[in-house]
This record gives sequence, structure tokens and C-alpha cells, in this order.
Amino acid sequence: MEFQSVRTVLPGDLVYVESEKDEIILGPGLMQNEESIICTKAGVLKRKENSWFIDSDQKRYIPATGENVVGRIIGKIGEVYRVDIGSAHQALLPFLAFDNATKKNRPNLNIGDLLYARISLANRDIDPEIDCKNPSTNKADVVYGELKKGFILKCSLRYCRRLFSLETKIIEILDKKLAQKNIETHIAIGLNGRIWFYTEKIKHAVVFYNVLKRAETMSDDEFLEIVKNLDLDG
Amino acid sequence: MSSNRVDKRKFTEIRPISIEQNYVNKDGSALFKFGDSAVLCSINGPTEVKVRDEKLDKATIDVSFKPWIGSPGTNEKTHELVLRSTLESIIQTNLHPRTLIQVVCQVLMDDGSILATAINATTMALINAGISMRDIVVAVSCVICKDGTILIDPKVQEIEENQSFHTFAFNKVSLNLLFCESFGVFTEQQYFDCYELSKTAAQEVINEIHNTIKNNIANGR
Repeated sequence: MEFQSVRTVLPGDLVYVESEKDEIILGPGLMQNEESIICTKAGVLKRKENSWFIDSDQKRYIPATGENVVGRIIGKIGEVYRVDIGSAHQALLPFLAFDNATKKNRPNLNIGDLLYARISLANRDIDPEIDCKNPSTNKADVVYGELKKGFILKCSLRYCRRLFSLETKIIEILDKKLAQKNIETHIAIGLNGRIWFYTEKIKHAVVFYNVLKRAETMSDDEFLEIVKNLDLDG
Repeated sequence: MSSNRVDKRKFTEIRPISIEQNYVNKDGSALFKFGDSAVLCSINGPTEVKVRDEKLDKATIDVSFKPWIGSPGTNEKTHELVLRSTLESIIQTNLHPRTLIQVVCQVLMDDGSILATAINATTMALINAGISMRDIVVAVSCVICKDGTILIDPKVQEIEENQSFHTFAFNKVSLNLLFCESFGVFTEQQYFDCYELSKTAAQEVINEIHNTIKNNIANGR
């Protein structure tokens, strides 16, 4: 079932919830105050069955467990890497939080390296922790780990969420176009407002960057039109 | 109601409001205008905080107020204090302990009611930054003339000519007074009249803010 938009809200607005069930789940932007539910962010109030949340536009990332992020290593302290994921506090990545890593055999990352990881611990009072393991099987999912070469694009969190959840067809359209031209690309979407991508030629990277950046305010049809006229030869 | 105000407005009429969000490339920003008075507010945060300012159970709010001309003086320091205490009452600082929420207000044009403009600009920027708030705050200024009439949202010229100057800030939900500041000579009755008129004007500001947010969301910003 899709998320259903209810209305636009401002901080302080009261939300009246009619639910068949006794229990409702409040997501980001909603807060219980005694008997009532109040909004704490401006955005679109959305619901899916008995879960409610506010889809707001934000640029600063606030970590939440299980989300995928693109990070950059900024230091090594003791047995952990310190990783910048765009949140208020730097995330910690233990040396052994990789698949098949042992004390003797572990990936050696350096300051400035990029990686794709999953938030394993998010608590407002402690620094966030990330790992590069697949949670269910504990085996490497191809996606987690170091991102070699490539570029990083910073954008709003909502845009990243839209791309990640495939709510828009932007990635699909771009993928088709690139496949036509036999251009190899890799992309990793972090929910922390960072998108990593790699293309072999710098020219393609520039095009990719600009197209993705401008697509934020476009509808799928407008985007299709832009992509049609893209010049990727040469 | 004919009026002898400098710009031919009604006594209780606010100047046209203009709001623009995402004005600079920060976590949140807004440009708020009451007529010619314009304040640009930008927000950074929740971000890393210096150990010296760190609070273990809540976010630190840091406000800087930059005047139109010259460097910040005592007046600006008072504005900073006012803004910080007002914001602390509405931002859910407990959600982001050991972080910093940095607020910078830059006056782009001073044509009276600058504190009220700054408070409204800050509200819009906070909304833009997606910072969790219990409520939003709006502010309106007014002056009392020598003949006792009350002028809402005065220009510089009107503030200079008159007896007393007041700024009121209200929250949105219950329109309760969050902050007030008064200069000059006035009676108790005049003060309460100002309060009531400002409250009505504040409701107009809230409606304007609501419309802006709705439009911005509808247009995908």
C-alpha cells in the first residue's frame, strides 16, 4: 500500500487520528503531548494504515538505525574509523565491522576514502555507529564497503529518499539512456543526502552530476524530455 | 478609515509581507520582508558543538544578529538574547543533545520593526531547516502616537516621532504572548490595547506564513 498524503501541516498543528486499531505509530515530525498529537515539522502529513509521519524537506541528516549512508573516513582512532556522514556527530566504524574481517585480515582504509555503510546504532546520546555487514545473513551484500574513485553529489534528504524508494523514475530513465550508449556507471544513494557515482569518462560524470542535481524539482515527464536531448557522445 | 501615516496605510494594517525560503546554501534559510524592512536568517544545525558550549541534555542555540550598517553593538546583543530565549521555548532542544543550532540574522534593510522582522525570518528559516519545534513564533511591532492612536508595524520615521514602541511575539496555536519589549511612556490601558491589536496582526502574519509554506510544498520548492 502506498503512502497517502493527508494535508500540509505547520509545527504546532494538532492531528486528529481516526484509526481502526487502538495502536498507532508516530514517525518523524510527530509528537505525543498528553492526549493529543502535535506536529513538530512543516511538510506533508502522510499515513500508511496506522503509521503516520511528516514528509519534510531537510538538508541536515539525523541518523536512524538501518539506513544506508555514503560516508567519508576522516580519522582512525584506536580500533575504529571515524566517518563523516553529514550528521551532527561523526559516526564510528569498528575495524572488524566488515564481512569476513579478522584481526589479521581486514580492509585497510585511509583518510579520505569513501564508503557505503549501514547505520547499526543510532541514539541521540551516543555517537552513531555504522557497519558494512549485511544484517540478515552477516554475509557481504555487494553494495556495502569501500567506494573506489567516483564523485559525491550533495542534495536534500527528501530527494535521496525519493530516489532510493524508486518513487520517481529518474534513475530508471537515466539508466536506460546510459545503457543505449553503452556507458558504464555505478551509483550509490545514501539516505544522508549524498549520492556517489562513478563513470569512466569525466565528461559523463559532469553530465551525470548536472542532470541529477537539476532533476530534484522536475517531474518524471520533464526529466524524460531533458534526458532525450542529452549529448553523451564524444 | 482615512489615515495620515507616511505610506497611507490604515492604522492597524501591516506592510506587505514577502517570504523567500532556501535563500542561501545552508541547512535552512529564509528572507522575510515587512515592506522595506528585510532580514535574512540562516540556520546551521544540528551540528557539532564546541566542548565549552556543550550541554549534555539539550542542544545549544547560538544566535548572532548582524546590523544593517556597522558592527554589532549593545542593541544587537539584546536582540540576540531575546531571540535565543524565545527560540529555546519553542525548539525541542532535548531531541538533539550535545549539538549546536546556529542562527544568523543579517539585516538587509532597516525600515523599522526590525526585531519583529528578525523573529519572523528566524521562524521561517527554522521551518526550512526542518528543526523540530513545539510551535512557531510570530512577532509584530506597534507604536503609540502622541494623540493616543496606535500604529501597527511602524516604519523608522513613525518610530522616531512617537511616544512608545512595543514588540510582541506570539505562538501560533494559542496566540499566547511569548515575549514583549516596550520603550517609552504609556498607560496600562494603552499597553493592553496594543497587545490586542498586535494579536490580530499576528494572525495575519501566521496566515501569510501558512500560505507560503503550502505554495512552496505544492511547487516542490
